Amino acid sequence: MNERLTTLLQHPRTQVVIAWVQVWRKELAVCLLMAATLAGPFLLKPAQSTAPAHYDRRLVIISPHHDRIREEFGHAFAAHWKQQTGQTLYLDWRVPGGTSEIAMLIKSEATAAFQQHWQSKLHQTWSPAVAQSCLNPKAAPDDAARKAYLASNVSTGIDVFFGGGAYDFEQQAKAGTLVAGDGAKTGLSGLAKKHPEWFSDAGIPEKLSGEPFRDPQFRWCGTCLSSSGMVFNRDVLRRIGIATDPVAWDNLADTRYYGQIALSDPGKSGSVTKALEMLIQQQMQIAYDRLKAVPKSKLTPDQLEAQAVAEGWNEGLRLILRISANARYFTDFSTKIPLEVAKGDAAAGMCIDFYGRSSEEDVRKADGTSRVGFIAPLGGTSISVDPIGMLRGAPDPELATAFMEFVLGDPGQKLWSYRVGEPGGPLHHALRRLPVRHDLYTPDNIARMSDGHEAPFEKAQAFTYHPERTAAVFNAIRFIVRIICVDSHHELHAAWKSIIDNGMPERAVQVMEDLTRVKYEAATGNIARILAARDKVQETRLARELGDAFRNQYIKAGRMAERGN
Amino acid sequence: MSKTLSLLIFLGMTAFFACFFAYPIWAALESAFRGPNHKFTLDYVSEVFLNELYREGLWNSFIIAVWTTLGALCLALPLAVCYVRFAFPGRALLNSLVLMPMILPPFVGAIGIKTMLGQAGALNSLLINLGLMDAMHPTDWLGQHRMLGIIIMEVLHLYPIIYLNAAAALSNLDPALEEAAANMGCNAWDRFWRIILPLIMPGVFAGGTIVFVWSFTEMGVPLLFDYDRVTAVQIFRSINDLSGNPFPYALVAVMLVFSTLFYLTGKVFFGSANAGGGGRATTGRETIPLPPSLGWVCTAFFAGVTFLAVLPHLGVVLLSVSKDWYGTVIPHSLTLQHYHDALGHDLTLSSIANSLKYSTLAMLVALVLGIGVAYVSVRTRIWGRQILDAMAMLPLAVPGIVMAFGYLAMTREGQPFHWLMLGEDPLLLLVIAYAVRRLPYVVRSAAAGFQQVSPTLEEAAQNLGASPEKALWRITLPLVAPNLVAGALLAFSFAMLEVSDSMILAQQATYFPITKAIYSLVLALGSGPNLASALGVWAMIFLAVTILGAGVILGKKLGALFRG
Repeated sequence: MNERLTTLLQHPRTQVVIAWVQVWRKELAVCLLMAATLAGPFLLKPAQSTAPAHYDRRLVIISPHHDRIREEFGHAFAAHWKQQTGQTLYLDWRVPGGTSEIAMLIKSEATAAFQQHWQSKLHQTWSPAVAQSCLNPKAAPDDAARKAYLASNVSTGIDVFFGGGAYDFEQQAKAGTLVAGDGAKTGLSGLAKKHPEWFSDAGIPEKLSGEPFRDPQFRWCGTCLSSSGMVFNRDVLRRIGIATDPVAWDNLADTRYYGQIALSDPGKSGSVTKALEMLIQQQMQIAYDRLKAVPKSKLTPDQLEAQAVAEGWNEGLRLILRISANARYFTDFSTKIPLEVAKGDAAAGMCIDFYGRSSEEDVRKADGTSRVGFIAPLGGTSISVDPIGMLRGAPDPELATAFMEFVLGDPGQKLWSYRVGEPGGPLHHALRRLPVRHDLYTPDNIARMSDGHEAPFEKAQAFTYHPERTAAVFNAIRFIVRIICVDSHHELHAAWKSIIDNGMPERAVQVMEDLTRVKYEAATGNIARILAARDKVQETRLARELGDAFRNQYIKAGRMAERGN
Repeated sequence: MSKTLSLLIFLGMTAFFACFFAYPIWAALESAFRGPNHKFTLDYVSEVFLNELYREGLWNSFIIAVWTTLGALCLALPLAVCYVRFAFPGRALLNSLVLMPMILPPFVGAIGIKTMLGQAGALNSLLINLGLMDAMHPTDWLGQHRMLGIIIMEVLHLYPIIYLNAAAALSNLDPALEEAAANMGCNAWDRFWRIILPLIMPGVFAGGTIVFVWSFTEMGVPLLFDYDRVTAVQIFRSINDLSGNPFPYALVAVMLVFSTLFYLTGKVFFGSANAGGGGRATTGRETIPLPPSLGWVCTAFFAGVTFLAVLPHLGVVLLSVSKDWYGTVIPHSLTLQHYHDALGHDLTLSSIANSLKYSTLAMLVALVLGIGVAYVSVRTRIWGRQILDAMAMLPLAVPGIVMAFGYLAMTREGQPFHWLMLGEDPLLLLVIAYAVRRLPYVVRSAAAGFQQVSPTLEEAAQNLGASPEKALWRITLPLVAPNLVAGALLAFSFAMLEVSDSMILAQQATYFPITKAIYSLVLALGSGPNLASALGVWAMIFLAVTILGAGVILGKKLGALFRG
């Protein structure tokens, strides 16, 4: 053995190799090290990728959903499809950001595609007016461009829009970018024919406590439930002298929370805007109840409603202003809120339910306790849905329909809600969402869900969502909060500090909270008009004027507080 | 090299620069000055100046740049003097460690720093443990001092640039000048202020200008600190509504004007202030051995600064292995799960492959361009060669975000360069963007090589019958190869770490380079920062292996390359 080894070693070719290795030993060592570094990701790459190199069919999904949801649904659907048809799927997730980015992207893609169609198929001249009206639901019904768009099958290159808020889907449906399908095989209309029981009050009701759950014309449908609430860190709460967990939105306006609230820019996130809308809706309801209780009121029901809405708007904005004044700063993504709260950098923050619950689970100790908690304020939030819908000109409508069927069917609904390890549940992370189909809340299923005990369909009774009250100001909420809270946070935060330090002098508080410039009439009038015109120059100018005024107001309030009045 | 070939190279370079440097800048700026009727307007730019928020953003960017540059100078100058003048324990090792902070994009370092500075972070825990802080009233470092945090992060990231420049200038200094001054009775302190400092000024300010412009336009760090009153972040936050919104472009125009001004100021006032007596050393320099006590002070100073500079990296490493780092100085439960999750993430493999692909191609493009520019400007007498050389250096002055915007604007639907998008794939665009951005490093190292290799060697080869091209290929290029490899390596590493272009140009997950993958991992629910750190550590190891490996192979100091 030894001899053979020696002869082998002394063989001229071996000698050549050895000499070569000796000459290049440094280079070899470096190359080996590099190869070792590169090997890591190759060895650990996901066994079943949803983006395989070779695939039979591709489904393009545009979604604001976070990666745990994308991962679980992607793998489960790809596996499901493989089992059904033997085909390998490529799930092409497009994640441009939050819902506002998605809306922007769909709009620009659809307009560009329609321009192509208009010029090369219809041989018409493209003009800004055509661009304006093709996606505009308010365009005249006989507008040629609008009619041509609605009659066309121009494609954004995307099959499915998955996740976001009902509001965003309603906008897309109105614009005509979402379609119902052919009523037989494809689209939600096709699914309604196949599974009529899903689209009924026993399954997915059309509305619950005022919140739309699905489009009566089947252009979109809710897939799971969500509510807004507060995530909080008990360690920080105790440290800043708050003994009980927060239970209502206005708790966050407490001055003890100064510098300890995590918020994110509503302009970047639909879920934060939704939470703010809930807060305003609650104030509107409170104002309504109060006005209604006034004996011998001379107000007609219409006037009463109008006054309640205006008062509630003001009160809601005032509350938002105080909470923002307490905020540490505004992050650009709503997922950062639960992270910062869990890290102890903030005492509490507003977020969507499953962010809060997931974060509670992430830091849960072995004994089952967690420093993080989440609460959806009773009577302070509606139960709304995260919808799904098929886009006009979907490249693969059959696959898109299959995906929607999967998400709305039992497998998808279980994926949303079951704990990890339950049969049919998620593989890696519980998604902590609740099924939209009421018929699935059976005791057996509830036992397998992470949050089945939440009984959302029952809790929804505590709050009635009045979309008509905030519909006219939904966009204005984003805009106004961005101007008076996010962009001016530095000044607001400083003024609030002076006010708190000087014992809350009443006049300074009044100056800081003077919301005349953005009261309900302005928000629905001038501001809404400029926002609707989509003229960036005017919008920026308005933003500057409002911003300057509010910043000056805050600085003045801060100075007044320091002078003691 | 034959005259025709040089001319061809010159024309080719000029065309490339016109298309991919001047034109994108023009494309980005055009929208800022074009009113609704396609007429020239200054409305948007004046709106930028009227808007208090934008004004404050500019001012803050300026302040950050000033303090970052000053901070980096204060750290780097004494270090450079210590290194060049004195012998002390661990000198060689510490000098090579100076490059450490450069192997991680600062925004990844910011993740580490943010975790350590949190209210329940490592620093507060340390202070509480030491009894220096009341556990009930921890300081919210990040909430209250974000600007300071940004400055510190950038100083610690960028000081090596000044250090390397200053060290190079110092070691090129003729010791005879100092000796002469000493003979005339000048003491050490005066010698430093009156002889050394004026003579190394050009080198120091060359580095200083790079640091200044870099920090003026830095986007990643302020973004991670959620500090939005900085111009770069304001631009980034407004790119989401590119459709018809001219203001981001106007902001870009304003930023470009300012950074070019700063760069030119640096060049005009300090770059050419070559006080007489420059040139090579006439006598060998010997380092002064220090008495042990002083020597260890030097070592401690060096080691301390390096420790501070790698603190963010340490934070990233700790974060990447911690289960839940909360309220303790170092995490108390460790896990490797994050590496498993991060390296096994859907985005990871493709982003690593993308980054390698983009960076390698960009490196090759930069190498070809760099050799061309350097050769033309050093070895030929073509009219305009200096302009070409200056143009190749300009990307140092133009903020990455401006260029990225330009590339975006020039490849929009209907624009002449729309085909560069290859459908949805930003490959070509990113390769060109990376290559142009990193070209200065390649040009400088190639030019240095050409200057050091005597043209007589090539002439000798030609006398012996080789054609000019063959002489270049067989004689000069092999001789300058080490310089080229070093420059290419630098271009490659920086392309791997590129943030601005990657953030703006790669919009689809399939085409994300690694920096954007890290950035999107930060946002993942739950363990986002841990995952991002794990991937960041991987990138750090990869780059360290690449750079150190090349250093080992070449046996050269790579430091010589950062001389701006």
